[in-house]
Amino acid sequence: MRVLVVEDSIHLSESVARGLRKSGYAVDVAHDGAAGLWHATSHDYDVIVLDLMLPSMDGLTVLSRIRDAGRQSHVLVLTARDTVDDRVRGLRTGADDYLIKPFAFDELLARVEALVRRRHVAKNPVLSLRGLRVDTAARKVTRDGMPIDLPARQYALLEYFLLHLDTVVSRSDIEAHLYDALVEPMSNVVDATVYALRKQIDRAGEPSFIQTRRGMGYVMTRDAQQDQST
Amino acid sequence: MTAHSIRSKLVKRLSLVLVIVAVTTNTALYFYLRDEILEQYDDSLLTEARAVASVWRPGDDKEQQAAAIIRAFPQLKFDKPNGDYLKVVHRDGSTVLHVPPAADHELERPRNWPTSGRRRSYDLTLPDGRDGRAVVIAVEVSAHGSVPRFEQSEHSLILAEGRQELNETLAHLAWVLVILGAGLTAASICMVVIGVRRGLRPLSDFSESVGRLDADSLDYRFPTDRLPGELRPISTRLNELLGRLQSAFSRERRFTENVAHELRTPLAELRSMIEVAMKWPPEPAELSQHHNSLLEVVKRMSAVVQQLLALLRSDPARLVAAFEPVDLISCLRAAWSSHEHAARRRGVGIAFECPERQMVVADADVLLSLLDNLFGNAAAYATSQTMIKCVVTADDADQNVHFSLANANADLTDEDLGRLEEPFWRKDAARSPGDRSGLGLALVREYATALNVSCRYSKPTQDRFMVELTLLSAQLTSAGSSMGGLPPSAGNRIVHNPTYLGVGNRMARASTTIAEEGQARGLRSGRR
Repeated sequence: MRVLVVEDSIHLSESVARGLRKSGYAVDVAHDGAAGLWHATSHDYDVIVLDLMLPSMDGLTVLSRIRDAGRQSHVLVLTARDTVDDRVRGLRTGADDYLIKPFAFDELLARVEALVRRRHVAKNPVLSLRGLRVDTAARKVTRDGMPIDLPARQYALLEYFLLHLDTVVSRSDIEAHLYDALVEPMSNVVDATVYALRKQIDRAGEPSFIQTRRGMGYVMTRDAQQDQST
Repeated sequence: MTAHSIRSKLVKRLSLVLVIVAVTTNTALYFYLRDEILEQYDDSLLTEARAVASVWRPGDDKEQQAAAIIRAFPQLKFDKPNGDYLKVVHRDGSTVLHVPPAADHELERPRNWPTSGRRRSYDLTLPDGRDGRAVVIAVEVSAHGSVPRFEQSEHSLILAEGRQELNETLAHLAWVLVILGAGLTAASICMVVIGVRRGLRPLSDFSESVGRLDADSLDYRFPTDRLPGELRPISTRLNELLGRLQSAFSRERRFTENVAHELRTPLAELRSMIEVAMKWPPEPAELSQHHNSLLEVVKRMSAVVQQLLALLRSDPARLVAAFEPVDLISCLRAAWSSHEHAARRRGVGIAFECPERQMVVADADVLLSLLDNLFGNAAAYATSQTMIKCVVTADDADQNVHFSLANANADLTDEDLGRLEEPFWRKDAARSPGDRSGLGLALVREYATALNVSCRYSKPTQDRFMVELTLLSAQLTSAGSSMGGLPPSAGNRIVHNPTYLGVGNRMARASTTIAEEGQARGLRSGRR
């Protein structure tokens, strides 16, 4: 999942970005309104964490321009202003959620996760498929009750596949949602991550959860028979 | 309607007046009517007495005369129970005739027997015990045939009759007047109540409106056009007061919000950095940078708190400036030295156009704090790669020293000039990197007030911002022992606020406050 953090405080944006990256998100950071708008309209972010008081262009203007550009990324407004008027104004401009500074990082993480689920129309924080179970709130993965310890990137990839069940996702989709702008993804990076993930979640003698569609990408299907037939 | 309301008092007092007026009027009316009725009664009795007197002849047989009178005047019922009584008296007091003759009675005579005039009426108790009314007249006609007078007559005639009917009439009259008075008074009081209520309705409505005011309704304004003239000045003044209160509340609310915002952002930074570091501890190589970042945030928070404290202490009610001759040029250079490094990093330099030495009358610490904020502002907001111009000129004519600080800044507009001294106001709403909290010029305003210095902001050109101060010159005549234009009795130290004259410990406390602030901010030049 790819997140954009638009926050003028360097310390805050860096710590939030670090926490989100450690949680498996691909994170881009912008320190002013103009840069934030450019990022938001140039990439398809799952969630944008947006401060309201920004240099060069205030957060509400950025939000309004993002919506005008037709971007459907979910926006979590982050601000020190806590009056009802401020919140109402933010939500009416197109924000999906609101968080007042100072905040607990876990709460920010939970809200970002909720917005990601909302974007992919999944209300249940637990995603499961044939004994494979991913708790997106606790960020834990189990198979038949046995815990699987996944690195952040592999976890993000698994969550992305589970949120797009029965849908072929291309390598470029994966790159766009799992790698931030600082990483220059190469084609074999995605393949290597898929390979590593398969090793973690598949068992010998059983069909793989992730199927390769040559020339198109990867797919994770609900029906194991369908997997075998393809 | 409460007991102490104007309406209640007005109703009570008007009702009391109405009752007094009604009682007085009715009493006066009663006595007037009673006298009128008595006069008519007496006239009627007099007519009857004169009629009887015309029949009576002195010297005739008494019994025959009595019988003749009884026959001639049957309406007087002399021979009936509860009838009238007649008596003719000689001047010497002897009774000449009395009717009815059979009755052994003695009619009361008036206390003062009339010796002059033609008639006398009086009340008496009749021989049969009834209340009566009698008239005494002289009965002998003078030779000229005129109405007889007592002094000319040998005999007087007393005619008395019961006054039961008269008493009943007077009692009836009294009752009518009492009932009428009470009714009219009650009706008048009702009208007073209604009238007072209607008359005072604008006042009660106004009072209710005022009573409903609270901190959340400061935007309410009283409609002055519909109010009576007496209340209009009050409502106008109240509206003005509400306006001032509203702006004061808004200012306080804005200030509180700004303080919250200023502190929330660094708090959010600290919390986020600490929580993320606890969850995913930084690599050993990153620890130093992480700690430095934490320290930087803490320092920024401290600066905000220090400036808030400085703003609180700079309240004119608390700040007492100790005036003395101060070298303005030394203060300027000391204040600039605090910001020179930061300015140089932005490529901002300064050009001083001032004499070697210029003495002014000021409190050195307060002046230094004021200049520190001005230079800090200029260093932070002057356009990069430009020069700040600092000019000091002395005007011997008015003993003033003019100081100006101008820097390039194309962002500020003329409208912004009015908001510069507002706490936490910054052109850029974002809390951009840097240690400027937006309190600098608010502090300048307070310090300028304490120093009694005029401070003016302007934009001489579209892309330049200038601040000008006018200070009082201190011309040294002999080694700084006296100051031009200042009372010698005050010596080198002049208390700005006369309230504190002679209150040494309070002055010392106020000076300490400034000194602490100066030390805390590293701004003291070490001269004091």
